[in-house]
Amino acid sequence: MRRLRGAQGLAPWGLFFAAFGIFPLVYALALSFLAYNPLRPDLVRWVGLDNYIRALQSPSFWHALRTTVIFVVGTLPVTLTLAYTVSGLLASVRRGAGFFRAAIFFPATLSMVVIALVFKSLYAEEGLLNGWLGAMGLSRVHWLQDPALALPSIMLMDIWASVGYYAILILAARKTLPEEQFEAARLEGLTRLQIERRIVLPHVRPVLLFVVLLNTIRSFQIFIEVFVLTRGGPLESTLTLVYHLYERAFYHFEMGYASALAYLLLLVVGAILLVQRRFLGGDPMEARAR
Amino acid sequence: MAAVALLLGIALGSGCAKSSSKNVIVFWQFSPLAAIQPVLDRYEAAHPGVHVRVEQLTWQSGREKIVAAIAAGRPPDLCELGSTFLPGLVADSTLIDLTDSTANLRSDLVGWDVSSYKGRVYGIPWMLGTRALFVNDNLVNEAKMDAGAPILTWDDLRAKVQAISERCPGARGFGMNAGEREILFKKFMPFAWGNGGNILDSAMTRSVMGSPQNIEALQFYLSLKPYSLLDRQEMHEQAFIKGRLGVVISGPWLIRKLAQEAPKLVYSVQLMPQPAKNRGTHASFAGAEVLGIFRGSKKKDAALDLARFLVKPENTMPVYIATGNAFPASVSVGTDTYWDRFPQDARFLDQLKTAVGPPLHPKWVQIEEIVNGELEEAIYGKKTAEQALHSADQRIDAVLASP
Amino acid sequence: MTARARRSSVPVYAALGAIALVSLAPLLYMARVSLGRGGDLPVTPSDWLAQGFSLEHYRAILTGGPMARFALNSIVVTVVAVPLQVLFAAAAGHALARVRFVGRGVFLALATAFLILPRQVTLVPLYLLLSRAGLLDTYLALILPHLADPFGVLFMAHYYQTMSAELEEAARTDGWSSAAIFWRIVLPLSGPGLAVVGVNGFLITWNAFLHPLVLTTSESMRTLPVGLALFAQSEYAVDWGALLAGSTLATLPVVVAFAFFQRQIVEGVLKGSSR
Repeated sequence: MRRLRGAQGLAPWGLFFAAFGIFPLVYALALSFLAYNPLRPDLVRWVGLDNYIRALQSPSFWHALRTTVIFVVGTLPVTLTLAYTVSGLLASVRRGAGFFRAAIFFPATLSMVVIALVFKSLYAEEGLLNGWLGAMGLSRVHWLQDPALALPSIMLMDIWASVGYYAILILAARKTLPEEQFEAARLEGLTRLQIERRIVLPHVRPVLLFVVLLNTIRSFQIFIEVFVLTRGGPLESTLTLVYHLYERAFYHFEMGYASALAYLLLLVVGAILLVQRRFLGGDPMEARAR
Repeated sequence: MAAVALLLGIALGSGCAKSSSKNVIVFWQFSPLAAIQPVLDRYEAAHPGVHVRVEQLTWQSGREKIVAAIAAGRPPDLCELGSTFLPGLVADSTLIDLTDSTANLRSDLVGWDVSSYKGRVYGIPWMLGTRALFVNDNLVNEAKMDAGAPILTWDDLRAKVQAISERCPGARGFGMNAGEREILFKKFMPFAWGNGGNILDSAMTRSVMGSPQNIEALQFYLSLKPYSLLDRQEMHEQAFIKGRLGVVISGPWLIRKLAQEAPKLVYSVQLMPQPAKNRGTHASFAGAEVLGIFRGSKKKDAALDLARFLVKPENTMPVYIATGNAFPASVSVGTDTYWDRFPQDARFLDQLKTAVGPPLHPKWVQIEEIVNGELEEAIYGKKTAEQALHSADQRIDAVLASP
Repeated sequence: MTARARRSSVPVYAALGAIALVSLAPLLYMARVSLGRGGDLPVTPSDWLAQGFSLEHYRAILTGGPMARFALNSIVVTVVAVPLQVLFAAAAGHALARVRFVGRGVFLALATAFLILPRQVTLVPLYLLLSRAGLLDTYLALILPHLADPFGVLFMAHYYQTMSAELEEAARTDGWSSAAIFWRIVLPLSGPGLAVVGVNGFLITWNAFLHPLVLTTSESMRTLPVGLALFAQSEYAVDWGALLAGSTLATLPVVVAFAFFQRQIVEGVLKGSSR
C-alpha cells in the first residue's frame, strides 16, 4: 500500500532528525576531507585523504586506539562474567528479588560524571581506599596518578557502573526459559551447574553476544571518565580515542582532522558490527548505547 | 499634580533615552566580577553614556570561548589575553595592530615585548605575574635546618627539601607537579632559565631545549623527586596550607589563601634559587595579561579608551590586591605604598625583575605541548633528562620547519 | 519456580547482599559525606564521628556558586526537550508503524543505524553549524540535538505495531482526520509506551555530557553534569564537600525517576535487546 495520508506525523521528528542527525553526519564526512580551522575560515582547503593518512601515520592515534582497545579487552570479560553470575543469582531468588534487582541496576541510571566524581573521592590520596590500605599496614596507592594504574582504576570504575545494566538484560533472557525445561532437567538428575551449562547458556547466548557487542561499542566511546578524572594523563596512559578526538577538535581546532578521526571510529565500530552479524546472522538490533 | 506628572515624565523619558543610546562595550576578562566591577563602575561614572558589559572567563575554558566567539563572528570588543595565548591569535590575524595608537603609552608600561610580534604591537600590557618559592619555616626548623637562611642556590633547595622529607614525619619536602601536563614547563623552565638555558634560540628558528644548561637543570630538578609530593598544583597548595609540604612554587594568590585558611602558618616567600653562588640568575616564570581588540569589534575606539583606563596602576592595583593573580604592568608599580605593608607580596615584585616568559612564537601551543610531554616522560622516569630534552629538540624543530 | 525458590540458600542471599551493597555503597558514601562537616574526606572511625550532620556544603554551593544556575539550565532543557521528544516519538512512531509510505524502510534503517553509531561523529559539525547560526551557548543548542534522537521513535513504532489498529481504522472510515485520530485515539492509548520513552528520554537528557560540553562556552549556560565536571577541575578540585554535594544534587532527580519508574527504565533497556 502506498498511502501517504497519515504519514505527516513523521514530519516533526523527521525534520529534526534530518537537520541534527543526518545532515551533520554527512557534513562530518565532507569536513574530514578538509583542513578546517574555525578561526580562519578563509584558509579552508580541500586535502582529500590527507587527514586519514595523517591519522593512520600518527603515533598519537595509534596510542589512543591501543589504549581504547586495552580498555575494551580488559573490561569486557570481567563485566560479562560478573553480569552473567549476578543474573544467575538474581534468577534463583524469589523473596527480595525486587530489592536486589533495583539496587544492582541503579548505578546504570546515574550520570557518568557523578560516578566519576564519587570514585575520584574514593581514589584520592587521602581517600577511603588509601585509608583502608593504610589501616592494613600497606602504603598508599596512587590510583589515578600512577601511569600504570590510572587506566585500570578507570576500568574498575566502569565495570562497577555497567555490571548491573547487563545483569538485568541477561536476567530477562533467563526468564524467557520455560519452567518445564528446568523441571525436566531436574528430574533427570542434572546438577545446578550442568543445568546452567547445558540449558541456560545456549538459551541466553544471543543476549550474551548482544551484551558483548553493546559493551564493546560503548567502551570504544568512553570520554567522560577520562575528562573528569585524568584528562588523558598521566603520561597519556588514559588517552582514549574520543578524548583524542575532542582534544584535536577543541584545543587545536583541527576540525577537519577530528572529523576524519570520528569517521575512523565509525569504521572501527562498524567493523565490529559486521563481525557480530556473522556470529548472530540477524538484523542490526536496536542497540542502546549509553 | 500635572507639573509633577510632567517632571516625572521627562525624568523617565530622559532615563529611557539614555539607556537606549548607551554605548555598550563588551569586555571579557579573567578576574572575579567582584574584583573588577568597582573599576568598571568608576569608568562608567567618568564616561556617562557608556556601559561596560563584563564577562568573567575561566582559565580552563576561556580560550575555547574566545575562539568560538571569533569563529562565530561575534568577538568581544576588549579582551584580556594570556601571553601564551597571544601568538596564535596574532598569527591568525584576528587582533588589530595597536602600535601607533598606543605609542604614548610606551614609556608608562612594561611588557611590550610579550605583546608584540615581528615589531608590531597587538596587545596592551595590563598585568604581569610570576611565581616564587613558598617555604614552611616551621618544617625547616623541625628538620633542623636554618629557617633564617633563605634558599639561595640549588644545593640549598635540595638540602632543605631532603631534610624535611627525611626528618619531618607526614611531610614531604617539595611539590613537584604531575598529572597536569599543561603547567609543567612553568615549573621547570625557571631552573633552566636561571642556568642560562632557553626553549628557542633568540631568532626563534631553532630549538635549544637540548642545551647543556637545560640538561643540567633538568637533572637537578629530577634529583628532587625522591623528596617530592607528586601531584597537581591544588593538592600541593592544600598540602602546604595544612603544613604537610615544605616548599611549593606558587603565586601571590597563595598568600591570600593562607591568610584565610591557615593564618597561623609561619612561612616565607623567597626568590627562586640560582644554580650556584656566583652563577646564573634567580629566574622564574613571567606571565603577562594583555588587552587586545579584535578585528571583528565595532567599538574599537571605545575599547581602546577603556583599555587606557584599565592599565593605569591605580585601577589595576585593586584587582591585584583582591585576587593576588598578577600586578599592574606599569613602570611605576613599585612606588605603591601597598608593598611596604605587605612585604611577602613585594617579593614577587623583586622576582619579576629576573623572570622570563615563554617565546612569542605563533606555534607556541604546539611547542608547549612538546615541552610538557617530554618533561612529563622525564618526571615519570620513562626517559633520562638528556633523552627527553633531545627528543624535544627534534620534535620542536620539526614543528618549526613545517608550514 | 517453586522448587527452585525453596532451594535458595543463605550463600546466594549473602552473595546478592554483598553485591547490592557494593552497588549502593559508593552512592551512600557520596550522600553521607555531602551531609557532613568540613572539607576532608572521612577515613578513620574518628573521622566519621566528627562528620556530624550539616547542610553547609549544600548552602555553600547553592548560594555562593554557579551550581544553582547549572541545575536551572538542566531543568529548563529537560522540561522542554523531553515532552517534545515524547510527542515527536509518538507521532513519528505511529506513522512508521501504520503507514507504508515510500521511503519508510529507509527511515527505519537510518534511525536504527543512528542508534548504534557513535554520536561523537556529529559533535564537530553540530558545533560549527550552531556556531554559524549564532546559536552556540544558548538553550536551543542544548535542546535541539535531543529532538533528533531515534530511540523513542523506534520504540513507539514497535509499540504501535503490537497495538491493534481496529479503532483507528474504524475512525478513519467514519471520516476522522489523521490528526484527530492521532490526538483522540492513539495518544490516550499510548500511556505505557510514552512512559518508557519519557523516562528514558529524561535520563538521557539529564545526564547528557559531551554535546552540552562542546555546545556551551559560558559558565551561565552549562548544564549540571558539565558544570559539575568543570567545577571539579577548578580550584574547587579539593573541596570534596562541594563536589559530593553537587553530585548528590545531580542524582536526586534520577533517584526519584528510578523510584517511580523503574519498570519503565528497565523496559527501555530490554527493548533494546529484543529482536
